[in-house]
Amino acid sequence: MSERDDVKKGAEQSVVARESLSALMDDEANDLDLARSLRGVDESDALRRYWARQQLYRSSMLGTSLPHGAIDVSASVREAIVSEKRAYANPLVSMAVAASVTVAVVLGGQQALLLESQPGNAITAPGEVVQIPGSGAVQASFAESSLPQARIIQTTPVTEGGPKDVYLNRTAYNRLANERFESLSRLHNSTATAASITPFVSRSTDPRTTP
Amino acid sequence: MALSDGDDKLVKRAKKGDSRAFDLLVLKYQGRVAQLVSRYVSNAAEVEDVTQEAFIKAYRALPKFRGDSAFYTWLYRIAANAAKNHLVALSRRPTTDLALDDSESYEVPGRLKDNESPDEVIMGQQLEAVISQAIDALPLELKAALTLREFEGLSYDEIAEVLECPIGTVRSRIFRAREAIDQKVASQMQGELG
Repeated sequence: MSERDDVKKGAEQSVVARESLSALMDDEANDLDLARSLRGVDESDALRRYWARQQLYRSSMLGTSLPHGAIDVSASVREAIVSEKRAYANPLVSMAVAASVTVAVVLGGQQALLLESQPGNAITAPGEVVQIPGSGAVQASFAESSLPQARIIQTTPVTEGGPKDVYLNRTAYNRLANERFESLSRLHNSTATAASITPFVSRSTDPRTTP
Repeated sequence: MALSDGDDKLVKRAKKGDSRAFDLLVLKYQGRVAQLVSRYVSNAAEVEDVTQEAFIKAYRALPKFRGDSAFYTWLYRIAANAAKNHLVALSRRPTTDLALDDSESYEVPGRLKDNESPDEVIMGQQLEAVISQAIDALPLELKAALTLREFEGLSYDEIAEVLECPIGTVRSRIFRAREAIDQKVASQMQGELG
């Protein structure tokens, strides 16, 4: 095929593509028109300009406001979209996203298992604020206490009246308070360590050892 | 009858990730979006930036577009929000407060817009005159087909019925009419349009 034939064929293809664009403007394009139009504007700047001009003519014909003619962002938008697609298609980016998700799932699962494996340490003391991995701080309530309170009270001999009873109760209460404090302190340290971005810095201090 | 914006096919393709289809939508609407943005932002470089940002946001949000409204109405909202956010970022108040639903009504034919320069107005009037001349000079059958399409909003089927000719002929006549207008504009306004 000669160069002249190539030019002629190119011109014919361009006319066919323009006719497809014209049908597309009117929402009358069939699948072939659509494919031809998309391929055409992808390959030919002349066709892109033709499409843009025809939109301008339509606006002018209909007497609607003339679009802002001086600005052409089509190339930069196309470039931004293509680079965004490339970034997502990049195996390194995909791997990074997948790795982040995996780490989040594994850590979340570990924390859930940790809490489940320590049912006796569930924080239910009033006013305590507990940091639970994967959620914000939660204030504990009285509901369904699993602290050793019930057990200790049941094993403590109960006598009626008198200062001795008061003393025994006070001793039992102190022991209960100490036991509760140590239990909560251990749990707090372990959850704070797991959830903190500086896991090796303890977040609590023992008031008994602090001056 | 309202003229179909003809975006359905392009929007569907763009939603499937065909950036070429979105490119056609950008080419179609960038002028109108830029004009909208220039009602909020006066600096030309900022208008360009916000217009570009609006289209990129629209592309990212495209999977969420359900087609409840026309594509341009949806795009208009994104662009208006992008322009307002731009002003907020610059701690400036919008120079105008357009309602989000006035995407079509603000375009009053023949009205001088406050953001149009005299050059743009003159060019717009000149273009309108050249197109009008070109339509007048069209052979009757081409003129009838184009007029029924652009001004009456008829579909190719309906035009074929009115003109008593095959639908392929309607398509061809409308295309030839557009080609003639393009040639006329190119000869009269050389270099002024892309």
